[in-house]
Amino acid sequence: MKKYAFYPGCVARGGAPELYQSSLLVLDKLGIETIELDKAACTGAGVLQEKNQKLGDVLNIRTLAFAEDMNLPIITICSTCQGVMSQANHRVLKNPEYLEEINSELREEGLEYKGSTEVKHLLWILIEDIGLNELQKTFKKELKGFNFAPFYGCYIVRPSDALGFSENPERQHSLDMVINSTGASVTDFSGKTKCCGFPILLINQKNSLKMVSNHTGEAKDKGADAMVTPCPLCHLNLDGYQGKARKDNRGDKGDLPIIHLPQLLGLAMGIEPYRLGFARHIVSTKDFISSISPGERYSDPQNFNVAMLLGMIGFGSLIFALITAIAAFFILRAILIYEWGDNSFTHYIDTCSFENIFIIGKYICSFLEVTEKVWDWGISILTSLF
Amino acid sequence: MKAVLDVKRFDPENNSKEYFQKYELEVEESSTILDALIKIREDLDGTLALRCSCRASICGSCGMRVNGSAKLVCKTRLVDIAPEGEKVQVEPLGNMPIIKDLVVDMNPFWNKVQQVRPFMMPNNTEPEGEYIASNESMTHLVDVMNCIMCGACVSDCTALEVDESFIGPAALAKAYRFVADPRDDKSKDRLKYLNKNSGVWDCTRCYACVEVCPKGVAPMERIMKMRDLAIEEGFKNTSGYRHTKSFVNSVGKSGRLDEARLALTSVGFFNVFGLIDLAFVGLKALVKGKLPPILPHKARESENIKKIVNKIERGKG
Repeated sequence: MKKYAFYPGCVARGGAPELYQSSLLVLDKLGIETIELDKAACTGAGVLQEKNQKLGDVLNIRTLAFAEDMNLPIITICSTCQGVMSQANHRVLKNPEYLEEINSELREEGLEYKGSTEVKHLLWILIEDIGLNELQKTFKKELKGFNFAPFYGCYIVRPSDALGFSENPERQHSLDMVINSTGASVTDFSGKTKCCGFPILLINQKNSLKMVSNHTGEAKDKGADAMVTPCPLCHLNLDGYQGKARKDNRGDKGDLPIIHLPQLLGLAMGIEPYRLGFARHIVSTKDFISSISPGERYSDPQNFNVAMLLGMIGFGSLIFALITAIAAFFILRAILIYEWGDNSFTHYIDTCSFENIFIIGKYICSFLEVTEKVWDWGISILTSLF
Repeated sequence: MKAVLDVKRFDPENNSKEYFQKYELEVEESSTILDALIKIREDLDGTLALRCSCRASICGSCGMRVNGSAKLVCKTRLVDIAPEGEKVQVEPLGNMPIIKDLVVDMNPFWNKVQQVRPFMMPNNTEPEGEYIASNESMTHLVDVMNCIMCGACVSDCTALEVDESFIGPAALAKAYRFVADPRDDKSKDRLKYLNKNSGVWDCTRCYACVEVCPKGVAPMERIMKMRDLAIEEGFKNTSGYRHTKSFVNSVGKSGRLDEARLALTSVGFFNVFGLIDLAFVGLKALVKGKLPPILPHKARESENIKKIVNKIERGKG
């Protein structure tokens, strides 16, 4: 049995929970034992690094040091985490002085990194540590006749010197190789190692969505049934924004399911689709799943109900707050008219001039700032409770 | 050794469509792709158009796409790309209009380089002798100065592919060369200009330019440096700045990334349309059960992470 230190990454524990749940099932079937690195920090995803590279490197080398203490290699299920950790490792290994500088920050916590930890994405482990022949022995279902478009994204293919491509050249085609091993065909398309647009989604949405539309549209045109990605960040953008992106840029519907690598493996291993979290995709995977595993359970009602309940409570309380606010306004107004007559505060509100709007606007702004503070306090209180 | 080249052909003057033409030839073991292309032009097909000059990766003329990624063909040996005599695909650079076959129109490229004012702008009158700059202040610029303007980074830039107004990696790297030069006095104005739309914040951080650059210029890393410098100069009213700041805060607080909060703060609390847009996405995610947790997951013993973040961020000033 192979043993690894498991670094799932923030997105697998946040916006893409189906990745985490399907990974655990698949790792189990592969006979991989894991210990989760629950003290590790976020890798910074390159964003932290652009502000403060040393901070990013300290946090990542800290994670590698935890694994070194356990004498285990790290397994990741997120390309971005993989890339960012590999880069940090690459930087300290080629510069011992820098490693010493980083270590001096870690000593307070009793850690020291000597440089021996290997960081490997599940995708690479399948090929290098398990082997495709062994992998195929775990498969129960042949996916012949299906076409999958591999979407590598950026961080698992570039910069290649940090990712060990010269020692392990098959890493360049790893996803193609794994798709082929399931019996399915690979849909080759030009966008497979390009940017998904996620890093600029919140900065330049127009450009980001053009990328989503280009990649998913091209793969669809070339006959892909679904797109497979080893990166949950690519998944978030390609799945979450595909509808809007395709409508704005191509005028068609976003209908290409974007599935995680472990979900593909899970399907081939014969795990029921509902346990792999297929109902948690924004682009519906229902037709795709019913063509692969007809008649098998697809939706996860428990999860759906919880979501709906939360949604209803949220929506209900919003409506309630709105009605209360409107009612309070009119009651206050009535009281003021009764107390002070028409020439007072109510008059001031009713004949609101431009300057008055400005003043009210300022009040709203300061209110929002207070809300942000309260949110912060609330979160810190609640998190300390749980 | 045997070489098989699949070359993209295009001749707009004769109104032809783009097509691939296959050439098979015998070359020396030590041949570069450029040697093979020149041999094709001289021995097999005189109509093939290509641009080259020094053959020693100094002039930057022979940038082309080889098997899908940009390279200087004079620096790329055939035996490294196709040791068994496999087919090698050669195309003109991307993100630029094609003039004929492998020759592209570099005008858009040069216009962008000019856009960043690629010359020294000191405030003072010229010194009597020479400008004095310390070694340390210049050595980190050596790699950027290595740029030979071959256009490889621009060819493979994934942001430029969807938005031709983006200033692009080559010109931004050139801008950094002056922003970080101690003899230049217009750094702040330069950063102010680059902080706007189509500037440093539109880079997607995809590493394509770093990967293909034949000279180790690493344009993306320069762009990241300029983001940080722009923030230090006080240009903070950008989604990019809010995004970065919120990210650092989130990691400092819980050790993990709080996606919900990151999205909210990057859009900005006063950007009503942005927030409505986000609310729809959030609602969809909620229904599907993939909304990031409202209470962010905390790393175990996250106080240690907090300590590190506070110390190093403060140390930086």
